[in-house]
Formats: sequence, C-alpha cells, structure tokens
Amino acid sequence: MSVVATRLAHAVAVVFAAYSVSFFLLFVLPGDAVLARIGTTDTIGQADISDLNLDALRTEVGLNDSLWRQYFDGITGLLHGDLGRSLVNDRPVTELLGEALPNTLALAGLSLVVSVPLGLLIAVLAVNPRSRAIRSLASLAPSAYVSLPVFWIGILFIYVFSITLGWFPSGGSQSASALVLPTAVLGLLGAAQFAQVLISGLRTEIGTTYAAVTAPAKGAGRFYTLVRHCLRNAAFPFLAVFGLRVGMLLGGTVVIEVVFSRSGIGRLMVDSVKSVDLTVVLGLVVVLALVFVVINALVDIGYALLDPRLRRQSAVEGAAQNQEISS
Amino acid sequence: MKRQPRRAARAFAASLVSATLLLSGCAGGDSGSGGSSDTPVEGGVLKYRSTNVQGTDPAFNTGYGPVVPLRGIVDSLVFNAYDGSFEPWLATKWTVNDDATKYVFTLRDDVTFSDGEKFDADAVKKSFEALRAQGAKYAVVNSWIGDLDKITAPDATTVEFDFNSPNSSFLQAVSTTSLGIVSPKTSALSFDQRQKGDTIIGSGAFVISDYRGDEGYQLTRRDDYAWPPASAENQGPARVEKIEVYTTPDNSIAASELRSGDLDLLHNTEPADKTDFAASDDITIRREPLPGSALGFITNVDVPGLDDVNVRKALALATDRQAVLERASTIDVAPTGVLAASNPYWTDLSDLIKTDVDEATKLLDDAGWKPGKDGVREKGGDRLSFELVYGASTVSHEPNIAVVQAQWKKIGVELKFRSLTPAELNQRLQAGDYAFTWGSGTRPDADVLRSGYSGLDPELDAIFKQILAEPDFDARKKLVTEASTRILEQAYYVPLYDFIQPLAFRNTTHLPTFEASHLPWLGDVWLDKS
Repeated sequence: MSVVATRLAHAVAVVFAAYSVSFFLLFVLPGDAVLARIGTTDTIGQADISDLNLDALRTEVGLNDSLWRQYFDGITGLLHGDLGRSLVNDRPVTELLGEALPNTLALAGLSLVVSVPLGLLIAVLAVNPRSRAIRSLASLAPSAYVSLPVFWIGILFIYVFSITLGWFPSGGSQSASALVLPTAVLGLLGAAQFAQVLISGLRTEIGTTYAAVTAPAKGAGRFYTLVRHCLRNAAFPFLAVFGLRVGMLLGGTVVIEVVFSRSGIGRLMVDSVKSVDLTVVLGLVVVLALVFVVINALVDIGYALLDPRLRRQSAVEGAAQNQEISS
Repeated sequence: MKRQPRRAARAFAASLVSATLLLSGCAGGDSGSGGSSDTPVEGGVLKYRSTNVQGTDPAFNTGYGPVVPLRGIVDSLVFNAYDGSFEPWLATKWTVNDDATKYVFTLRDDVTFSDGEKFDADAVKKSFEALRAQGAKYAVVNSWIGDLDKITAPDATTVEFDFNSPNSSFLQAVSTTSLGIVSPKTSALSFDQRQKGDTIIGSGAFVISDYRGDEGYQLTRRDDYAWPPASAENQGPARVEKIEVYTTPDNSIAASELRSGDLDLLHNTEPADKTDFAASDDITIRREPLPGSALGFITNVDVPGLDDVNVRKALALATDRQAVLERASTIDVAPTGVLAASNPYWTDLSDLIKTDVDEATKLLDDAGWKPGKDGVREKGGDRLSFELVYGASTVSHEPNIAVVQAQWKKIGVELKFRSLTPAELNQRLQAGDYAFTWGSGTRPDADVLRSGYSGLDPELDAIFKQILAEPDFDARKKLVTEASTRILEQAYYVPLYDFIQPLAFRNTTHLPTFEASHLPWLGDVWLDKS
C-alpha cells in the first residue's frame, strides 16, 4: 500500500512542478492575451489599438493582479479541479480540453496499436531472414523514415492519397476514413522507432551463447529462438522507448493535427501559445504531466512483469499486484 | 518482327498526343464561354476554406477570411454596395444629422430571425447593447461604434443612435458583419456562450447547421429568406443549399485542394500559387485591390532619424516600386496614393509617389547624415538603421520587403524586418517600440486613414476630426484627398503596392455580387452542376 501512496505523492509532485515551472516560464512570452485578442491589421476594418483602453479587460480576466496572486489563484483552482477560463474566449478550460482530448486520444491510440506489431515485424525481418537484401532493407527503412520531417511526410501523404488518388479525406476528424492518413504517418513513425530499438536489441541477443549455441544445439530453429528467447530480453529497451513514445504521441500530435486540419490538444496548444492564452496552456501542461505519470507507472509495472528478478523485490511486487488487481 | 510492335506503339502514342491536344483545345474553348452570363443554377454545396476562424461570433471575427461565411448568418441595417454607396437592407431608410451625432433608422417589419423571433427596433437595440455591455471584450467593434450615448426605440420600426461626439463612419460600421443584427436570444448570451460556435442566431440567408470546432462549420440556407439587399441579383432564398467552411491551416495543401476540386472558394494564397492561379484555365484569382489603404510601411516619427522629414522623403524616393512588383506575384499592382484605387474615397495621387535615388542621396547628404564604417549613415550617434515589424499574415510579403531592403542599402540605410505574434506586435505598437509597421487597413471608408496616421501631426489630426464630423460623401472625399496628400508629402507612409485580397475560386463557382468591402454576397453565389 505504501508503494501506491509514494506513487501518488510522486504524481502530485510532478504535476505541481510542471504547472509551476510552466507558469513562470510563460510570463517570458512577449505581450499578453488581451493584446493578442484584439487582432492585427488583417481585419475588414482596421483597429486603432493605440486608443483602446485594454486595462479594463486585463482587470476583468485577472491579468492585472500580481504574479504571485495569479499563481496562487491558479494553484487553488487546480486543487479544486478548476482549470479556469480561456483568456481569449472566456470558455472553461476543462470544456476546451474535453472537446480536444478524444480526437487526440483516438489518433494516438490507434497509431500505437498499429505501430507495435509493425515495429515487431520489421525488427524480425531485419534479423531473421537468410536473405541479406531483406535484412538490410528492413534495418535501413526505419532509420530513413525517422530522419524525414513529419510535416513533410504528412503533406506528401495528402498529395498522393487525398489530392491525387482521392482515396481518403485530406483532413478533419468527422469520419473514420479521415483517421487513416494521420494514423498511417504517426503509426509508421512509431513502428520505425520501435523497430530501431528492437533491431539493435535482437542483434545483441542473437549473438549471445544461449541463442547462438545452446538453442540450436537443443534443436530450436532460428525463428523460434528469436521469438521465444531473444525477444523477451530485447523487450527492455523497447519498453523504455514505448513509454517515451506514448508521451511524445500526445504532445507530438501538434504537427500532424495542424497538417491534417484536425482539432485536438496539439492544435489547441499551438493556437493557445500563439495567443498567449496562459490558462489553456497551463491546462494542457497539467493533462500532459498526468499522462506522463501514468505511462511511467505502467512502464515500471511492465518491467516487473518481464523480469522475475524485479518481481522478487517485495516493494515493486506490491505495485505490480495492485495493478493486476485493478486491471 | 520485333520492330513492328514498337512502331505500332509509336503511332498509337502519336495519336494519343493529338487527341489530348484536341481535347485540351476544346476545354480551352469551353472555359472561355463559362461566365456569369450563364443562367444561375439552384442547389449544391459551396466548399470554402479560410484561416484564422475563431468561432462564429461576427462581433469577434474581423478578418476578411472568417467574415466571408459569417456574412450569410447575419444581415445588417444597411448594405454597402460595391461602388461604396449605401442601400436599404434591414432598414428601409435612415437619416443623419449635420454633424453626424444622431442616426435614425426606419426598419422593415417583415423580417424574422432563424429562431422565429421577430426583427424589430428592440432587437436592434439589444443587439448593439450586448456589444456595449461586454466593453473591452469587443474592443475592436466598440471602437467602430464610437462614442455612443444612447440607443432608443420609440416604436417597433424606429431606432435612434445618439452620439456624444461625431462619428460619420457609423453608417459604414453598421454595414459590416461585425455589427450585424443578432436575435434577442443571442444578445442575452454571455461572451463565452457566444464563442461556442453554434449559438449565433441572425436573420441571414443561412443558419449554422453543424459546428466542428477548430475544423470549421456548415451553413444551411433558410428557405423562407426574402429580404436580401436591393442590389442582389437573387431576391429569394440563397442559390446554394449549403456552405461548408474548412480551416485547413496549410496554404499549399488548400491550394492543391482548390486545383483538384475539393474546394470551390479559397482565401489566403502563397505568392507562387497566386501566379499559378493567374495563369490557370480552371481557377480565377481576384485581382481587384481591396478598398482600404495601399500596402506599405507606416512610419513611427518618434524614432531618431525618422523624425527628420528629409530622411523620410529620402526613403520614399529610394524605394523603386517597379522593381518590387517584378519580384512580387504577377497579380499585384502599383500604388496610386495612400488609399487603394478601389476605395470609394480614392483620388489619383500617383505623381506624389516617385523614385529618384540621386535626389534621395542628396537629401541625406544635405541633412548631415554621413556614411559610417559599415556603410550605414549616422549623425550625432544616431544610425539610419530601422526595424519593420508585422504579423504572421505579412510573412508572404517578405521577399518583396527584401527588395526594398536592398534598395535602401544603396543609399546607406539599413532595414531589418521580422514577423511577431499578435500579442507581441500589439504590445510594441502600443509602446511605440518600432520604426516601421506594415500598413494594410481594409475598411472601405474615409476613416481608415485615422487608424494608421493619427497622432503623427496636429494638422492631420485636425483633418481626421473634420472627417468624423462630416457625413456628406463629396465633402469627405475632399478632406481625405487633403489628408492623403499631406501623408505622402510628409512621407509618413511608403506605399509599395495595392492590397489584393487573395480570394481564389474555381471557374465553376460564380460570385456575381460583392460588397464594398469585397465580401461576396452569398445569396447570389451559384455553382455549375457537376
């Protein structure tokens, strides 16, 4: 039980720290939301901003309070589960997050589901086949894909599969078919990253005595050895990357959501930073911090499940069992 | 034996080529005859893309792109026709007193909002008062409304606006979508409720039928719509059945979608695509400059160096617009004054916009600005090194600004330029922390000058004040010419080219009617049957 308490305290500390650091960092941004929302010269009727009295609005949204006062109000709100209201359109931040999160979760989740088996397949293809050509291709392709900018791949996919071939919509999130292209771009990226880690892990394992000498001596085939013996050992670095990848997926959908014109937390983040909408940015930070905490916990449990030596240490065992019961 | 099939293939290829040529020849002939002379077609879905869409609150969206579809949701009291004149719309007639401090509108009595509420003087009063009550939240539109004292509704079809100080621009302000009339139910909403996207109810030809957050929304026509502006071709319900609004952030993807037919109408185009569209047989890009002011550099006269009229004149003379235009996209046109040629208050002042590098050098020499070690002129510790700041929407003009940079370098003046976020830009404009800013006001009104050039010069400010108190068109035009002349003579402004709002559409899309602000009237828009 104490492990759970430690974990929870850890989680609270992470969220608190992320909130506080972001809060003070954000004040370095030039200008404020009030200045951002009055628009620029690109209007049907130019606004003479030098004459506008914006202090009234600043007072209304709380930007005229002292920094500490604003910080204190923010933390108090956070403790009550209230993330405040957008400084730009006054809407509750929880409502904005609630609108954006499902879209991003669907995209991130689906691309993870695609990328794990695909990464595994590429890794096995890079190590197992007798043909050297297949092995080289399978081990080079992931590095090549990872080195390409995501927005470029996204635009390429739109040109080829949407504009030229007309198979899928170029953007939006209204239909299931609109998920195909962004999921493909992100899923391939995840698969490539997983494959890179797995390939190097599997190569090391396949050269060790148990795989190179013992298993063949007992009559096990190369593929059987690879999957039954080496994969489990190679899974450790994979799990570490997996944890990072999930976090990156949520934060890193920014580019994909902008290129594919999808609403989601990535796009919300870009728009909010541009308009200095501090409350929304901080709300997003809290959500992302929570996601990282949860993923980290799951990765630790994964380690324990994979390695019996870790399970024997009673403390971690407790955490793992708790997780097993709850799941 | 082996050669025969190859020869056959070659013959086949040749016939294919000639067939293609024939086909494209036919296509060319067809596109020539396709125009607004054809009979309008009922129905269809207009697919439109804009950037910067922030919900659907007309009072909160003032950019050209997002306003295009909003024009379908709300009607205004008066319609500002393409030639700049005002026509009856929700108001059948109106009067303005001599010093533009009292406006009286007589309203139609047969108009309903899409929620069934009746349009009357009380609804107008509530619609305006809702904006006044939110004060700074609607800072921009409230600055157009001006120094309003009170709104009264003596009877159901009369509404009176009383001002504390003159506002001769009020009629133009009233004609914008931002001051379009919303239903009393919408007026009763709080600011954040109005930003939700599907809560705005007007009396327009379209209603919001689906809202997809950041990704856009859908409008559906009202079948009982019967009160379009008088100059609209079509006096009944809108021709297109639905309008889909997309917010595709990337300009090049959106341009490709227009080429492939996934879009019918597109706002915001990169220079390369503008040039491409200008030469296209399938796509038209509007070349009519927006009726605001010309694009160019607005000077901050408080900056050392720029407080010297000779330096300002030298910079204006050193700017070779022809060279800039050669670099710009093919559709841009040279400036002919402070205002764009399409502004109703425009007069031709092109003889005040000249290029004379020798004269520019002489002016700087005579004023005592001597070249320093790095070639940049200086005097008494001040250097002729200036920064131009602007928002993200000006980034596409950067290659052209770089041409000016090179021209100014030749006379020993350094120009730096960069784009800022709206927040930082507005902060620096308010604080006076800039040398030049990008001028691009697009209001088809005399008052557009005041926003760019007030506070520079007492003589100009006096003219602006006169303009505000002068409701008569000809008298205003005379004052505007006076102000424009002074702005150019004092070189407060370096105009580069007229502002062409990049609105592109497929030739199957027909936009017969435009407002003075160059917004298409959506009730008249129609699409060829595909």
